[in-house]
Amino acid sequence: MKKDPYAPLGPAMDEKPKFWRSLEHKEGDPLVKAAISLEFPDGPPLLANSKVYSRRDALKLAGAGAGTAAVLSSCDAIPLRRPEEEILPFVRAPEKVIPGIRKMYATALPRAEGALGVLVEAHEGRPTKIEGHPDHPSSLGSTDVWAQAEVLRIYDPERREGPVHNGSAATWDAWEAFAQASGEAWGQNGGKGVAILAEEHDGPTFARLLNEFKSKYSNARLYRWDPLCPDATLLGASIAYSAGTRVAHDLTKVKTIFSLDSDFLASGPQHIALARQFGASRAIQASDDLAGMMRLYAAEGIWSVTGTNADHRLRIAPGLLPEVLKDLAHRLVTVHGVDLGPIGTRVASGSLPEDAQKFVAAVAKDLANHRGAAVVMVGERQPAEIHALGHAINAALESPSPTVLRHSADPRESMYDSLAALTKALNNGDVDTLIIFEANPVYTAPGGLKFGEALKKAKTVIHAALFPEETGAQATWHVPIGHSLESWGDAHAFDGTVSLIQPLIHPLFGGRSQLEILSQLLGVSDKSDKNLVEDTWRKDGATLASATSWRTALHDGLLVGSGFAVASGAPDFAAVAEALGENPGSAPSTTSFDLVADFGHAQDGRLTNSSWIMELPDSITKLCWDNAALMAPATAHALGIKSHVSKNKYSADVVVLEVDGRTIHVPVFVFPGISENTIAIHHGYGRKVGEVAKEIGVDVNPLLARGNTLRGVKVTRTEATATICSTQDHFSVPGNPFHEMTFEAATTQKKGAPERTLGLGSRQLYRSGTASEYKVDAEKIAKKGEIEGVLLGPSLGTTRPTQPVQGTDAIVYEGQQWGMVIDLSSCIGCSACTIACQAENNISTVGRDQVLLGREMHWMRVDRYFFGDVSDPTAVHQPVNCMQCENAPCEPVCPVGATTHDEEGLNAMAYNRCIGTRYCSNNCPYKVRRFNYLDYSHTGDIYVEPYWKERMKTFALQRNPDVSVRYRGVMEKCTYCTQRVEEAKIAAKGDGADRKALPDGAVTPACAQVCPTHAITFGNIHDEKSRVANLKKSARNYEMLQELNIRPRTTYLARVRNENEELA
Amino acid sequence: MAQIFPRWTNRSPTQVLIALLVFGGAVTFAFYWWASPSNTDVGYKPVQPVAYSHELHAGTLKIDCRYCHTYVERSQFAGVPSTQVCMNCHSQAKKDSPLLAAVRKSWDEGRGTQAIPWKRIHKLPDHAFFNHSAHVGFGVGDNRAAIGCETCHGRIDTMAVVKQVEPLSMSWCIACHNDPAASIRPVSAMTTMGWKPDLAWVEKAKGIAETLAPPGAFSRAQRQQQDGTYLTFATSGCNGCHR
Repeated sequence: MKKDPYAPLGPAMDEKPKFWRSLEHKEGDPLVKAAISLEFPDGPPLLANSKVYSRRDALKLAGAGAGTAAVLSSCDAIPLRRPEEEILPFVRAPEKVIPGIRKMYATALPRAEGALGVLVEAHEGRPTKIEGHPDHPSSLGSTDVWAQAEVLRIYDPERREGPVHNGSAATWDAWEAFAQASGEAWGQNGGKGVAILAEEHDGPTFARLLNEFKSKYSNARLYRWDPLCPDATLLGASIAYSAGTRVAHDLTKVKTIFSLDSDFLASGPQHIALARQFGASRAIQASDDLAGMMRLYAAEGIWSVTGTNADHRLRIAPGLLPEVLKDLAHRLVTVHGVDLGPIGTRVASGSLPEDAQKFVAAVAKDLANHRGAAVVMVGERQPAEIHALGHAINAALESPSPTVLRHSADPRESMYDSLAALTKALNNGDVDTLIIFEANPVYTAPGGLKFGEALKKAKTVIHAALFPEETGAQATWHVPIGHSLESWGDAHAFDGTVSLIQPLIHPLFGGRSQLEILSQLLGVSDKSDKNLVEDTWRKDGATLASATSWRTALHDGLLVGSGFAVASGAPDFAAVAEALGENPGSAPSTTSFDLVADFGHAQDGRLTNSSWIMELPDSITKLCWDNAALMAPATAHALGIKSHVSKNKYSADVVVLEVDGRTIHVPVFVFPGISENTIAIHHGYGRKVGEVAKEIGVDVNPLLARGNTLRGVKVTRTEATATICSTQDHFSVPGNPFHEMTFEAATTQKKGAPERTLGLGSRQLYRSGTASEYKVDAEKIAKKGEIEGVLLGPSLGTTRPTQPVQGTDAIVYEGQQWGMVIDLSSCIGCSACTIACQAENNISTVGRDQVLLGREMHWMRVDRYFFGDVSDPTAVHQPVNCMQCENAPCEPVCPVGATTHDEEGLNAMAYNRCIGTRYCSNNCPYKVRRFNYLDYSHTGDIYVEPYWKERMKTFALQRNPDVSVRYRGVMEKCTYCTQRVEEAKIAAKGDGADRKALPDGAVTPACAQVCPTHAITFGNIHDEKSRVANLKKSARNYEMLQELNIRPRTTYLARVRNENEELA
Repeated sequence: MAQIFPRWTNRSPTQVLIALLVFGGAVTFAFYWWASPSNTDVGYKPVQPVAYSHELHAGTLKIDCRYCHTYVERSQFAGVPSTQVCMNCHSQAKKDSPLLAAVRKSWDEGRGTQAIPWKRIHKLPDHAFFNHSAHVGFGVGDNRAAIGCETCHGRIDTMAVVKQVEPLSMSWCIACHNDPAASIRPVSAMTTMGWKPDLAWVEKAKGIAETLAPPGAFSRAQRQQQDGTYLTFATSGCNGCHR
């Protein structure tokens, strides 16, 4: 038989992929296949329900165009000359402010888990980008998704410009008069009936003012509510050690980690520092490094980022998780002779399933073998006593990781108890005036408490927060406060390091700082937030009394050596044993589900009004602009629930979740890796207010009571279906890109020949191996699935090149040549790179409707692949940005030369040259080019919808002035942050240095800068000594789709998993 | 049967075609000629809020450009001076001149908050990123050189009212970037107006221009012309200016 010249050269097309993006991808759903071969599947051009563009707008637009034409033609002369522009210099130029040169300020973002030290970039007084603070213990130079999104919040036009009294705008004078009168009245009765509800993060100054408040108005009560607070973690330390302690971790000497339902790599206290240490140990470059490589075990019912990074993950129902740790403790005591004192008798081997028992036995053995180098991390969703048990095990294992710190002398009440006490007091009529700082309990309070109804019983509610939100809408007074980038303040990092907060900009909407508002209620109205912070630190004899020390601390953003005192002492085994109690866990069933409400990128909802956060696909599910009830395939099958792919989106059955008479309706997303009879759902959606966030997704709070794990949930299928938005199949890299190379292949279909839809051939885009494989042959891992010499094969006519366009050794580099290496071993999949890129490069968000058409604009995406068993797969992450191919397929097809190579190997993109043919994107095998289908940036010269014109007034201030803002019809993509490269070159010129030989590290793209694990390395590959050139020599280095010979400048280091052979 | 169309109509398609071509050519030429920056922008001379004379300050008094345009060596913007800079001298010199009323109003005894609204003359489109500091000092060691202020801004020292003298169009930028040797001068002569190179510098400039060539395997920074001469490309990638 004659050979079909178009037959794929690689694995057969109909072979099912070993690494799959979704259940449908694995099964070869024709819609997924079709979506892969059509990069931008044709959707309806404009959605009828789109708020932004409708047919009516098209008519308006036509009208506007006609109007413009009429105006132009009626003029005598068409104004060819550009409009007059003004330059407004300073009257008195401030020292060190140079227009055009960015300035970095050290400050901190207060958080429940401890402040994050950051450096904020300001352009002519506008904060535009947040970077990590290299000297701050909680940042170490990196940040996370939430820090990146924080900068957008200050420009949100929904912030109020002044106080709101009973729903109508009031003046600051009116507020101040009210505050003074209230203060005087409370002075009379000692603040009877006054209550304050605050979040967790008190800085020293806020705490000082709260103490003054309590002593001045002795009858006033203080309550706390902060869903993001590491509450159980702190309470667990109180049980195991003593009240007012916390446990900080340091993984540098750790070899074996057991994570129980914990996401210590991606959220919670110290997550950036812990991720850095974890990543560093996993980035092995030689066999010797294997000895220091951490091994991570995780047990969880739902996915966490940490779980995706685990070498062994136990999928187990949330209801059984406490049993896992008890079982582990039992085994450590009975099998491995670890001394847990009285705890030993309180823990017994529970009723764990067989696979879990095997897992726990292996973990126990590994932990015991690594005594002195092992640690157990317990997640925030576990009860305090399980945290205490974790501390006890760590102490018994002589773990080098924990350090006990004393942060307070007071015993701690749990957040839930505090809010419940407030609700009770409100219902009893004990609270006349409630002052709420920042918290949004009307939305975030668990439904079981019925807080919203209780709040109505207070006579006066004062809500001091950045946005009115749901609580502000119910409040008597909403007092807008300044963002932490707009006001003075101070905060403690998790380890206690005092971090000073300084403003970068005068409050944009005129808000007052929290400190000022509290001070006004104390009857002091003449002190600014700066005065109040100075009162704390600069009083005679105070730490920063001298001007030098104050200025140094302000410059550094922190007070060196100001951490909490180390509390010595071993955990109290007896107290832990007592706290454990007798409450055996049980597995859920089809009639009684477990439900876990977890915090994704949207957190508890405080960040949902940021479009960056809403559009950022979840690290694991890749859901964006949506949340859903995740359910294992087997469970869904048993209940007859379906969710199926339908062109870029998922259509899902809606279920009713019911517990104790409280119900919510939520669509189901059938998702592998969730434990049976378990539902996972993200917090923060289903908001009632906020232009960005409202009416998107489902609010899980009404279902909840104490804690975020719920048992005994009844699930009933309804007849309704809903659309959910997941990008997991978007921008799939075609499995067999050769077919895109010929027109004929795409158009002709011979009889009997295999179907030529692209996409499912098993190209090994993601490569990984085990540590033992690495030890035997380090290069083998990176060569897995490599297709040898494809382009060197026999000539098959003119349709396919017969030899490499440019041989590997034929290329002689000159000067500096930029390249990037992404280490898949240390990448944890946190998605911070995606959003950092968005902030740096003025990337637009497109909205839910457009994402459903596959039009999201992120230049850097993080592909998540699964491999293994459908019900219990392993998940891996692969960040993909433009590879800056040396033989870039996008360049020759551009009819206008808008995309060309520069002399340093960057695949440049001249946006204003682009005419929008999209040929380049079609020809890009990695699918990393993004097209502005509509005016996503809202910068149109002719017509911008008034709604957007108004909104963009403030949002436009966030934009990076060094990067073009792209308009409709323009292709855009990653250029390794070419503006940063140029900036470094210009700086070198100014210094008289050679701009063609920048030192290693002179340029760091936004993605590499933000990366908590330093998984992304950028530099000059022509410099033998550079970090990136050395990484490219690594045995783990591989090119994605190397068989195409397009020579990508971004290469990957194959992941090495540190598997335990007993469990493999 | 009588002919419907007279004989001359045989030639009309050709005539119409020629007419269309001529018309199209004329329209193209009109845009090329009258809508190009060398027509629309060169000579732009707006009336400034203060009758400031560069002829007097830079020409007669020989104040260095950088006294007012302070940031030219540090930033992308050369900078327009703050009112304070004007008042450095004019709190003493010509302190009551009616011509300076707008400056004194802006200064308002040091308490002023209203900037002098200078009219912008030189402006590049938003998608072109120009950096002054990159042009007034480049090259390493002995090969250090600069582009003079006058190269792009003209003889400012002779302008009572400043106007734009160069088109600042892309082809104008590229012309110099293709052959920088003709435009570079010693850094010390950066602000000198009417500077003329001597023969030694002309030779040296060629050498410097060669060092400016960016090496690269993909685009040749030096291109040989038909006649055997080399053109040097100071920047050959698009992303030097378009990001």
